[in-house]
Amino acid sequence: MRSRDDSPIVLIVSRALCPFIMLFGAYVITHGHYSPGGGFQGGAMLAAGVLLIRLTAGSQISEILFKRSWGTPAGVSGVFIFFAVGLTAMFFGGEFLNYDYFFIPTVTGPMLRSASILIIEIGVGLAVMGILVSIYDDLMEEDPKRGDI
Amino acid sequence: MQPELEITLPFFILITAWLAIVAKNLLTAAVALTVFSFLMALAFVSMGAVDVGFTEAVVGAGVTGVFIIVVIFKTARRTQDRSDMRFKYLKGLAIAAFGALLIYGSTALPIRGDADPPMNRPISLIGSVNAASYYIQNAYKDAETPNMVTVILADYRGYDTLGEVIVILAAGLICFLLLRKQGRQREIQR
Repeated sequence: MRSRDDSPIVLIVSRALCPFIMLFGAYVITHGHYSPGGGFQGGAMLAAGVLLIRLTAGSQISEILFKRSWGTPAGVSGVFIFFAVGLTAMFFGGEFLNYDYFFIPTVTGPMLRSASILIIEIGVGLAVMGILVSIYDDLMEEDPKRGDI
Repeated sequence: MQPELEITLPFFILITAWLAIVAKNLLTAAVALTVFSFLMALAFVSMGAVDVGFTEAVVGAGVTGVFIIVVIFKTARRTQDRSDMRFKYLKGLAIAAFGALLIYGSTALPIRGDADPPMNRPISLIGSVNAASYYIQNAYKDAETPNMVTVILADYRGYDTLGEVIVILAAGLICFLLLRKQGRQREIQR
């Protein structure tokens, strides 16, 4: 692979943009009840924020934002959150993923389903973000001798 | 619906799709594919499918482009394949026939913006109860969530979303198992 050009303009612009992209991603995940979007789109935007820094600053510096070893655990824990909600509903007497039987103290009726949807969306967002970043890290994996991209 | 957008968008979509297929420089093809995804997202939004357009813009125009460009840098810049000229007219005829079949099928689709299409009626054409009508009438009552798409994806069709997430996890784990070398190299060094 070619050596990376250290352009300060690209680095500064991407450093300025990245927090806003990631904040908008978190907004899309949590605001999926009221506006277009949801866990999948928001997770992909969070991953895009991480990938922007990965591309411009190289994988050494971007370890500060998101470590390479975090990707797969984040993906697995997102899927685990999804399963945990379904199995909790099953434990309290309903079917798998029947949110009417999910248990949150002092929340009942339609609001319970709304809150369960929010938990599911956070799990999906975490899974998508972690897995997209981990696929990128696996693709970029190379021998340490040859240096960065 | 904006008539100017509806006329110009398919034109640019066709140009970028053609460019992505014929470009010999793979980087050009990747960029053309990204532009194609973004134009498709605009087309989806102009048709009123905002959630689908959002997904297409974020995944197709954002993350997939990065992945494809990384793979191109890792492998080869230019395509090596030569087109196979055998049965040229037979292939063209097959493609034209399939296109004609698709166009014939699209004539039976309901008109866009139709308030009473067959799939949204309470009773379907064969006399069974339609799920779509139940979703439209009861999504807000059941989950107090104004965005009906979110309720359908995460609540009524929770199994589907769980399956999608598991598919993504499987893809990530396959990349992890096939491409990650650190553990293997460490074992060789011992």
